[in-house]
Amino acid sequence: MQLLVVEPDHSQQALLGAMASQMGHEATFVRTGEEALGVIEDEPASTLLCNMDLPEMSGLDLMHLLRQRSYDRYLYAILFTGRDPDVAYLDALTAGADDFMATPIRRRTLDVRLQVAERVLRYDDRLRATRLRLEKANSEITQGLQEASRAQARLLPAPGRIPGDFKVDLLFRPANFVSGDMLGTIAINNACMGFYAVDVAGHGMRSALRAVTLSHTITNQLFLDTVGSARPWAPGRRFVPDRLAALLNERFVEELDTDDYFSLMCGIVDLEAGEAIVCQAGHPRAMIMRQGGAIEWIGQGGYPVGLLSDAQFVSERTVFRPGDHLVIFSDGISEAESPTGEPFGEANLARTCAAAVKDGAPLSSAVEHALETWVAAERFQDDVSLLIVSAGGKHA
Amino acid sequence: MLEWQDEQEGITVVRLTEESLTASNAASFRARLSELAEGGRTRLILDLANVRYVDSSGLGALVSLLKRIGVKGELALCAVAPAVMSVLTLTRMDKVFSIYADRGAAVEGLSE
Repeated sequence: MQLLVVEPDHSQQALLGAMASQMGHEATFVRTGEEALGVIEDEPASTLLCNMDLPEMSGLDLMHLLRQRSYDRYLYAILFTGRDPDVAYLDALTAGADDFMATPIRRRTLDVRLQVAERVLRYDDRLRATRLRLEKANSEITQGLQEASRAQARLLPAPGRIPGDFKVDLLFRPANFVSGDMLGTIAINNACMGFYAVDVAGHGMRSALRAVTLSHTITNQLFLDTVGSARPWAPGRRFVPDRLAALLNERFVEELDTDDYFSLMCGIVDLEAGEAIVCQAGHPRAMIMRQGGAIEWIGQGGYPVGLLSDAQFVSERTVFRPGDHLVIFSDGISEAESPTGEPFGEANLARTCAAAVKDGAPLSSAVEHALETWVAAERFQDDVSLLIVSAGGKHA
Repeated sequence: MLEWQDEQEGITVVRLTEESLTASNAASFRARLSELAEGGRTRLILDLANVRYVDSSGLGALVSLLKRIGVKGELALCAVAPAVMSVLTLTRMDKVFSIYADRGAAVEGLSE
């Protein structure tokens, strides 16, 4: 071991040095507490042997100072003195020493004490090595999750690149890096746009993998093949979003397990026909904010997808005109709890959106702000997703 | 987590002692109730009087149990709190489960 010996007397230094080197240790010597403080910054000593009776700063003061500072590794400290050992012993331990010796120091005593020091420091080394390994593993996992989070965000609709006369605004906040929610839009023509929102049961990595799988499963082609009856697209054609829910249910339902079921809200906004048609499958009902500020809700409830093989799905329709906003949200919003356990609820969502529209502010950031204020925490407990579809352009 | 009491005609009432059924306890809840069913108690009434909140994982566990137990036995719910009921209604599970107001009504209902 590397010892740092604080001893003002040269003959004592020599004696301690000789004993330490016979035991296979290397010692560095200083004469005062001030010197010891300076040396300890650069010297890799693991064990301090310090006389309590030093000329200026006392051994106890030195001990106090050392324990206030933080070093990479533990410094094992043994104080010694020729004074009454019964009193000095307690003073030494109180000041932060690990052990104590009365002088004159016998060879056997020093040997045993240094063996104890070695044992404790070996344990400290092992702990430190484990901590470093954990920190490294944690930082690798965190980095992987951050990359996964960015990859998932790239699968979301890009509000700036929505074709036709539509505007899309969204809020997507995973509870923890990756989300069991997913959102998508399907461009059909200038007057028709499809959309979907899913929320896989549970949260975390497993739900997120299923959510991403779903977003790859619901291709434009699949959407058009199920929600519309045929191509090319003809005006006035009846859209049937429930067929998408039924197909996904058939594909994802399992005999007994229910771990990966999900809620779905899918549908279409058709400006030619002036209507929105949605299928609500276990997802919270959707909100429609009319141009004048009136709030309506669409969705009478419906089976989630992948839970029951014989589940039936239905589509519901409502008037939709330019200036209206269709607001689709996951239960991470409506059920977000305040510190007292009160859910955010539909009423707060409606109020927040109405106020934002009045102020001409983006709904997504208004809802995000209101939610953060409501939960009074930096992170949400559940995955949060919000999709707002509105229309302008020549239909306005 | 679970307390149960055997009633007439092979019916067992199981009371969930926790206040919520969520991702954190859904798996062990499902395992414990499956054990009961495998041990021969297949006419079960789940008393949810204590439960104030059920999340998607909790709902998944309930449906999974219904699928497993419902084949050769029965699984009914009773004393469902309003917040839990609204989750069941939203997902139409109120049409899938037999739901009774309280233990007495449930035991009577299953005995018929």
